[in-house]
Amino acid sequence: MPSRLMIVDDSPVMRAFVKRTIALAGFQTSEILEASNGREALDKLRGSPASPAVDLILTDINMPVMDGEQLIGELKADPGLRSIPVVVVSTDSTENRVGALLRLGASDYVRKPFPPERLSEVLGGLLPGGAPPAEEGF
Amino acid sequence: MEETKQQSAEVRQALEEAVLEVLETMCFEFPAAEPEAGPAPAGADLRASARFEGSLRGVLHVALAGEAPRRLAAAFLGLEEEQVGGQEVLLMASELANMLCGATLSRLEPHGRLRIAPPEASRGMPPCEGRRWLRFPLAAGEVAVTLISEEVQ
Repeated sequence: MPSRLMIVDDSPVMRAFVKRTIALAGFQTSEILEASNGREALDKLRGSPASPAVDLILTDINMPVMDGEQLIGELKADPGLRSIPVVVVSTDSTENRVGALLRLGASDYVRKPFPPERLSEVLGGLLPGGAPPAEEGF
Repeated sequence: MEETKQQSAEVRQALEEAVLEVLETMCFEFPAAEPEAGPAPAGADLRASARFEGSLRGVLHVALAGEAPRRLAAAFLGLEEEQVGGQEVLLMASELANMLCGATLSRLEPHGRLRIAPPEASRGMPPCEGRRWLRFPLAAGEVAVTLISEEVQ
């Protein structure tokens, strides 16, 4: 079954890169929502008629208005959104930072720059349909 | 902050590894020759920078010369070079500075507490006259980076 995803990043070129990587890996998606910061992401998720709003969220950390850390905190405090897996995709990758984000409730962490296989591996482990068949992936 | 020779060697190694990793994994680009230290590339017409603070403080600058900006942006976005616009080139350069900064700092300070400010990119020659840059020749154009450390208060 196709998945609904959300990519939260203030860089439109990075959102485009992640979308392309997901498509090239062979993941079937019905929709990929985009947001440029945590506040915009929350507004879109809370306004969604679907339940769950999305199957998985990929978020950057350093963003204006509301950063990724605040976003994860808000998501985990919201009964309607707390079950959505959140994957952090960020350059901010010191051990302290990664540990803090995982304790806050992030499901996994992908450090930028990343090879496409790394993102594919993480998504395959978290999406309801798992990884795409090998011939479609990397 | 005056760097000792050992610090300079560590910074150079971290920068070199970071540039190679970012070019290979995000832009599918491999340098045409070994990197060399020297002045800013004379033909550089696009620059980007990312400031950082925490257990280390300073700024990383990246300069792009020749066909490098359009070539890297096209590879990053999966487009033909003719399809890449000026705004996409600037956004790609910002993201390049952001990733290079993160990849360098995670090597220099893996246990540190660091925050990278939103990167900035603009047209024109890079600043930092007199600084030494680590220069990577590509098949078309050039990428150069330098990292300036500041005293942590």
